[in-house]
Amino acid sequence: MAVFSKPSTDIPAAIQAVIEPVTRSSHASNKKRIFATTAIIFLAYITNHLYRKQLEAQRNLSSHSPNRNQTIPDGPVSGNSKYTITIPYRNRTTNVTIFPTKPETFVKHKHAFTALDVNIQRVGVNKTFFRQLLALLKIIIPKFRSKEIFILLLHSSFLVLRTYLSVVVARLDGRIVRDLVAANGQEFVKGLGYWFAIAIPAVYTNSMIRFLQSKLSIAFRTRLTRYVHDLYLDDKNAYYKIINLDGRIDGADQFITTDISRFCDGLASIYSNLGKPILDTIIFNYALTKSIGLAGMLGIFSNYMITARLLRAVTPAFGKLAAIEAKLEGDFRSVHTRLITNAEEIAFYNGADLEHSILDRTYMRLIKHINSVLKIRIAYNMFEDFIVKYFWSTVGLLMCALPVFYPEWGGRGGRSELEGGSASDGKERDRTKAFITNKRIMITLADAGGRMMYSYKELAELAGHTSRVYSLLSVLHSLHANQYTSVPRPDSLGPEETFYSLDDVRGIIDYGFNGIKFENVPIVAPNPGNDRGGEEFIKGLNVTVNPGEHLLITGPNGVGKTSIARVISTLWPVFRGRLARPNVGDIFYIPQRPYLSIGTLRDQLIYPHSHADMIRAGRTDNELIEILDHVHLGYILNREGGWDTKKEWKDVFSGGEKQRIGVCRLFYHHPKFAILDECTSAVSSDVEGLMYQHAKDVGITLITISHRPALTKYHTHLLRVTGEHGTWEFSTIGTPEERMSLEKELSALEEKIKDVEQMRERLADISRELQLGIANNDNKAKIQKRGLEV
Amino acid sequence: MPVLSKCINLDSFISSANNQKLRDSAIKLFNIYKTNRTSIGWSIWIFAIILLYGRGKTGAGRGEGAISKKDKREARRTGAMTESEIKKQKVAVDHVFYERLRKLLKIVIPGYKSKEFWLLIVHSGFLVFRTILSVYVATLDGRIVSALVRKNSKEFLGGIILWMLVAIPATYTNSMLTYMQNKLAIQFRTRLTNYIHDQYLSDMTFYTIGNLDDRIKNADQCITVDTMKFCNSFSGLYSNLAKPILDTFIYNVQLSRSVGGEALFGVSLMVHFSSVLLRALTPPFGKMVAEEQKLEGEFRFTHSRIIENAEEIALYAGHSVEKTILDRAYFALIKHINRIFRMHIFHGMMEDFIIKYLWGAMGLVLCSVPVFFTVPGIKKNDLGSRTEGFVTNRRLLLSVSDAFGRIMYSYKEITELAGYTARVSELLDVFNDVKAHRFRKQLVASAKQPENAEVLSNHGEVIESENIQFDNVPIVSPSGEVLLRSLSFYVKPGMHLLIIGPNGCGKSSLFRILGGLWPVYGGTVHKPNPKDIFYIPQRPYLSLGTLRDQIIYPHTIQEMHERGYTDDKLQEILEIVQLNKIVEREGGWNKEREWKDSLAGAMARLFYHSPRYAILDECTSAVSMDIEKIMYTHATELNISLLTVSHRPSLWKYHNFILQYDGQGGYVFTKLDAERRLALQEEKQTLEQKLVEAPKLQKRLDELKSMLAERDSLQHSATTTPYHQEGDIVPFSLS
Repeated sequence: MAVFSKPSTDIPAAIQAVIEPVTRSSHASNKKRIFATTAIIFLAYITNHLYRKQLEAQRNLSSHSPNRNQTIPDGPVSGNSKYTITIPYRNRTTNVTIFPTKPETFVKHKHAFTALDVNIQRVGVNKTFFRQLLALLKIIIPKFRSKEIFILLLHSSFLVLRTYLSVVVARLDGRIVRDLVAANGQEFVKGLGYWFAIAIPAVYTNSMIRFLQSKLSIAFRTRLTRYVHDLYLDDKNAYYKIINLDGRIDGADQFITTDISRFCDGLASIYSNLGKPILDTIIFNYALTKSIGLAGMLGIFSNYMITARLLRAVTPAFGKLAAIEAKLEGDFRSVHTRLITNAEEIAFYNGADLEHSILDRTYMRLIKHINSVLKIRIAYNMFEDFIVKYFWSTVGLLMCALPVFYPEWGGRGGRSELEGGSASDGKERDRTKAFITNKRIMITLADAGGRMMYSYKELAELAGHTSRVYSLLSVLHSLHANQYTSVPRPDSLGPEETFYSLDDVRGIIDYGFNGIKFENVPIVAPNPGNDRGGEEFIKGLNVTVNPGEHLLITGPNGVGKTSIARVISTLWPVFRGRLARPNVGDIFYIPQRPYLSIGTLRDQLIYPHSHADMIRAGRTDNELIEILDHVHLGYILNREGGWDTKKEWKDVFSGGEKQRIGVCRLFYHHPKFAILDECTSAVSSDVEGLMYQHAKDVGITLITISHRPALTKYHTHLLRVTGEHGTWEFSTIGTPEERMSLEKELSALEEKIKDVEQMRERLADISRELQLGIANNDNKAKIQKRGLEV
Repeated sequence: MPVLSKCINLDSFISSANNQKLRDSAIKLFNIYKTNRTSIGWSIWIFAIILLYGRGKTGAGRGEGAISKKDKREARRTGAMTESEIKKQKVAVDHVFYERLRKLLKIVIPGYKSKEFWLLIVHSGFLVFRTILSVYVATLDGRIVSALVRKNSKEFLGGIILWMLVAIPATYTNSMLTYMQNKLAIQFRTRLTNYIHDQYLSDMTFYTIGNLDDRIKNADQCITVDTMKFCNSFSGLYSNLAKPILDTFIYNVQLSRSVGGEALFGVSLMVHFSSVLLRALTPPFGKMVAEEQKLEGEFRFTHSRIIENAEEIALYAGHSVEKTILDRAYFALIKHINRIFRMHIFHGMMEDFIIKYLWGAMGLVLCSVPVFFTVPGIKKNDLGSRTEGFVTNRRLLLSVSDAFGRIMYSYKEITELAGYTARVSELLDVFNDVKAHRFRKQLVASAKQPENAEVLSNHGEVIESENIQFDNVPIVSPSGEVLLRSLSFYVKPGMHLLIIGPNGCGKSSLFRILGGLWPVYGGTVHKPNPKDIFYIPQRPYLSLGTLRDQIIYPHTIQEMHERGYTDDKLQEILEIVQLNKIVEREGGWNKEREWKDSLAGAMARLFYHSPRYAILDECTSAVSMDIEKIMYTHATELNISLLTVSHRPSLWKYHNFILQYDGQGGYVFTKLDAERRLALQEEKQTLEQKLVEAPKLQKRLDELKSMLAERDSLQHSATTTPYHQEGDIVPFSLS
C-alpha cells in the first residue's frame, strides 16, 4: 500500500502536481500546477503549429493555376524513383508526388506473403492473423522514420494526455461538489473557473485524438493502396491474370477499394480502442487504489472477475442463434427470389396459392425462431442488467464506503478519516469530494472495461479484413512472380492427352527476335479453376513471320484466333514449345473491342503514352494531326474542341471512329510489328484499304486476325485455323501451286453451276407453298412501310 | 435563479437611484410573481409546448409546399415517369410521410382489439413504470451517498439492501421493454408480410410487377428486408421517442421541484441557445460526406473499369497510364477526406466544449441553486442532505440530458423511418396500380408512332367461354412494341394447333395474353377457365417440396385426394412418361430435395391434370423422338387439345392446324397437311444448300476463266505470269 500511495514515477508526480494543490493550496505546488498547465498548452500549440505549417507547405508547393494548358505534364517516368501527378480538386489542380514501390521491395516482401488456400483458411484472432498483420505492417510502416510513426507517437502522447486530464477532471469535479455541498460560494465559482480552464486543453486533446486517428487510417490506406496499385498494374499484367489466370480473388476492385479502407480504419481504431482503455485502466486503478486503498481495489477486481465469468457461463449461444436466424432469413429471401425468377412459369401454372403457402411457411419458421430467441433474451437481459447495473454499483458503493467505515483498510481516504481533527462538517465535505471523485473514476473504469471487451469483437472483425487484404496481396505477389495454383492431373484425362496446368508451364519465350516464330507452341486457354486444366485450341503451331511478311489469320469463331495474339503478348502462358518474339516496344496490339481511356482527346490517340511521355519522346501535336488525316479523322479535332477536351469518349465516338482511333495509336507508336484483331470491321472498305496500305508503307509488319476475305490482298501469308481438333493450315497467298490445274477446276465448276436457275425457281415455289401465301401484295406494302419507319 | 438574482440587481440599482416609487412597484411585481409562481411556471411550459408544436407544423407545411411545387413540375412533364426520376423523389419528413405512415399503421394495427394494440399499451405501461422507477432510484442513490458521507452505517446498509430490492422490478421492466419492443416489431412484420403476401400472390401481381411495370426493381428485397427494417425502425422509434419525451417531462417536473422552475427554465434556455449556436456553426458535413461518397464511387468505378477492360489494357500495355489514372482518383478522394478531417478538428472541439463542459458546468450551477439561494418550497438543510439532494439532482440531470440527446438523435431515426416507409408504401401503391392495370413502363420508341399509340390506347375484352378464340387481338409486348396488329384464330376441342415463326415475333406473347399475364389491348379474347388450360414452359419449373408435389403441382396433396388420385395412379402416369423408376430411385413419394429440371416430369404434370387445352412451348427440344411420340399420342388419347410452339418438323404430324407468323407483322391460320409440308421442307433445304454455294462457284468460275485467258495471252507473248491481286479474290481451294 505504501508503494502505491507514494509517487514513484514521473507521471503520477505530474498528476500530483496538479491534483495536490486543489486539496492543499500550498504556494510551491501552485507554481507546479501553472507550469504543468502551460506545458500542456504549449504542447498543444506546437503540434497545431506543426500541422498548419505542413499543410501550408503542401498547399504552397502544390497550388497551381487552374489553367490546364500551363500544367506540367505528369505521370511516371521509367527509371525515375519518383514522379508527380496532377489532381484536379475543387476547381484547381494540385500536385502529388508519388514514390513508386521499388521492385526490390516486392522481392523482399514476397516470402512474407505465402500463397494460401482461401477455402481452408479459418479467420479468427489466432497465430495466422498476427503473422498476416505483421506482414501488412511492413508495408504500411516501411521504416522507423516515416510519417506514420510520427503520427503514431503524437497520437500516443495525446492519449496519455487525455487520460491524465480525465483524472484531473475527476478530481476537479469532486472539489466543486465539495464546495457546493459546503455552500462555499467563492470556492465554487473558482472551481467553475478551473473547470472551463481545463476544458480548453481537454477538448483540444479529444479533437486531436480523433483527427490523428483518421489521419493514421488515411496514411495507412495511402501506403497500402499505392503498394497494391504498383503490384496490380505492373508490367507482368497482374490485373489481367488475376481474372483470367487465377480464380482465387473475385472482384479485385472490391478488395482494393473497400476492404483496404476497412482494414485501415479498423487498424487505426484498434490502436486507440485498445490503447486508451488499457492506459485508462492502469492510471485509474492507480488513482483509485490510492484513494480507497488496496483492499477496496481488490474487492472491486475480484467482483469483476467473478461476475464476468458468471455472465459468460450463463450467456446462451447467441452467436449460434443469430446464425440460425440469418439462415432462416436467407431462406425466406431465397424463396422470394425464386418466385421472381420463375414468375412466368408460376403464373402460367396458376401456382400462386401453393407458392403463397410455401412463402408463409418459410416466414413462420423464421418468426418462430425469432420469438424463441426473444424469450430466451428476457431472462438473460434481466440477469445481465442486474449484475452490470445494480450489483456492480453496489460493490462500488461498498468499496467507496470502506475508507469511511473502516478507515484502517482504506488508502488516502482512510488516512484522512484517521487524522480526524477537523470538525465533522469538514470531514463530511472531504468524504463528499472523495466519493464524487471515486465515482467518476469508477464510471470511467467501467467504460474502459466495456471498451476492452468490445474491442475483442473489433479485433475479430479486423482479423477478417486482414485476411482479405492479405489474400489479395499474396495472390498479387504470386502472380507477380508468375506462380499459379497447382491442379492435380485428373484421372478422367486419358494418358494420350496433354494436361496443361498453370503451375507446369514448360514453354520458352525468347525476346528480341526480329520477327515472330512459333515452334511447336500449342495455343491453350488457361482455364483457372478447371479440373481438366487448360483447353487446347490449336495443336503445336509452327509459324514464322519475318519482317515484311504480312500474315492473315482466319478461321471460324471461337477457334482461338485471338488466343494466338494473347500468347504472342504473353498474356497467356506458352505451355510448351518455343516462342520467339520482338521486344515489348516493337510490337503493338489493336484489340477487337476498342478501348478508350479516361482523359483528353490527345490521350486517346497516344494511348498507352501519357502526355508527358509524348513530350519526352519529342512528338508534337502536328504529328498527331497528320496521323488523324491518315485515318480520315481530321474533322474530330475541331468537332470535339481541341486536344485537351475531356469527355466520356466511349459515348462520343461511333463504332468506326473508335476503331480508327485504334489505328491512330498504331501509327503514333510506329512499331515494327502490329497485331490487328478484327479492328477495322466497322470502317468502310476504302478507308480500310488506305490504312492498311499506309501501315505497310511505313514499314509495319501486319498480323491481322479477321474473317473478312477482302483483307487478303494486303497480306502475303495466310494462317487458317480450322477449328477441327486444333488443326491449322499455313500457306502463302498467291504462290503458283495455288493455280495448279485450273482447267480441271473450271470444268467441275461449270458442271455444278449449270442448273442453278432451275433450282432457284423451284425454291421460290416451295417457299410460297410453305409460307401459305402470307406474302401477298398487301403484306408486301406493309413490310416496305415498316422498313421505312425503321 | 435568474429571477432572484435580477431581483438583487434591481435592488441595488434602485437604491442607488433612490427611487422609492419604482422600488415599491418592483417589490409588488415580485410579490405578485411569488404568489402566482406555480401557475406562471405552468403557463410558460404550456406556451413552450405550443411553440414547439407550431414549429413542427410549419416545418411540415414547408415540406408540403415543396412537394406541391414538384407535383406541378411533374404535371407539366408529359409521358411516363422514368425510374431515375422516381428515385430522385426525395424522402422527407412531411405530410406525405405521415399520410403513408397512417396507411401502414392501419395494416399493422388493424383495430383496438388486436394483439398489437394491447402490446403497445403494455409497452407504454412499462415505459411509465420505468421512468417512475428511475426517479425513485435517483432519490435512493442520493440517500445512500448521504448516509455514506454522514458515516451512518445503518442507513447506508438499509439503502444498499433497498437498492438490491429495487433492482428486481427495475431489471424486469428493462428486460420486458426490450422484449416488448422486439415483439412489437415481429408482430408488425407478421401483419405487414401477410398483407403483402396476400396482395403479391393474388391476381398474378408477382408476375406483373416484375414484367409489366418498371417501378419496383427488386420486390424480394422490398418484401423481406425493407419490411423488416420498417417494422424494426417503427417499433424502435416508438420506444425511442416515447421514452425520452416521457423522461424529459417527468424528470423536469422532479427537478423543478427540487431546484425551482426558474433555474431550470434559465438553464433550458441556455442549452437551447447553445445548441442553436452549435448547429449554426456546424459545417455542411452531410454534403461533404455525399461528396466523399461520390469520389469513393469514382475510385471504385475506375477500378471496375480496369477489370472490365483488362484484356485490352494488357494488350496495349497501358498499365502505367491506368495506374496514374487510378492514383489520381485515389488522391482526389484522399484530399477531400483530409479536408473533412481538418474541419472536424475545430468542430469537434467546439462540440465537446459546449456539450461536455458548458452543459456540465450548467448542470453544476443548477444543482447549486438550492444551496446558495432559497427556493420557495425547499428548506435549507445540513451538509448531508445537501449531498443527498445533489446526488439525486445530478442523476436526474444526467437522465434528462440523455433523454434530450435521444430526442435530438431520433430525428435521424425518423428520417430513416421515412425512407423505409416510402419504400414499403411505394410497394403497396404499385400493387394497387398493377391490380388496377395501371402500369408504368419505359416504352420503346416505336410506341410513340400514332398508329401504334392508337393500338396501345385501346382496351380489349376477355370473355370466359368453352373454346379459345382470338378476334382481332393485337399482340403487344409490355414495353409497347406492337408485334402483330390484329390476330384472329380459334382452337376447339379436337384441334391441335402448331404455332411456328421466327424468334421474337410473338409466339410466347400469344400464350401470355391467353394466360392473362399480359393485358389485352383490343379485340376479344375468348378463353376457358384457367383450370382448363395447362401450360408447359420451355424451362420446366419445379417447386420446393416432395416428389409428389412436383407431379401434382400446383395442387396440394389434399386437392389430389379430392380429385380421387392415389399414389398408384400417379405411378401409372409416371410409367407413361417412362419415369417409373424414379420413385424407387429417389426414395419414395415424400422425398424432399432440390429437384432438377426434368421435362418428363412436366409432361407427367400434364397427364395428371389432363386439362382440355395444353400449351407446349418448345418443351420437347430436349427429349428423344420416341418419348416425344409417346407423350403426344397419349395426350391426344386423353382428349387434350394441344397448342405447340416448336421448330421440330417431327412434331408436325401430331397437329392438324397451323398458325404461322412471317416475322413482319403478318400471319396465317389454316389447316395443316403435315406430310406434304414435310416433303417440301426437305426439298427446300437441299435446294437452299446448293444455291448458297452457287454465287461462290460462279465467282470462282469467272475468276478461273479470266486467269486462263490471261495466262493464255501471256503464254502467247512468252513472258512470266505475275499474279493479280485485284478484286475480292478467294484464292484458297474450294474443292
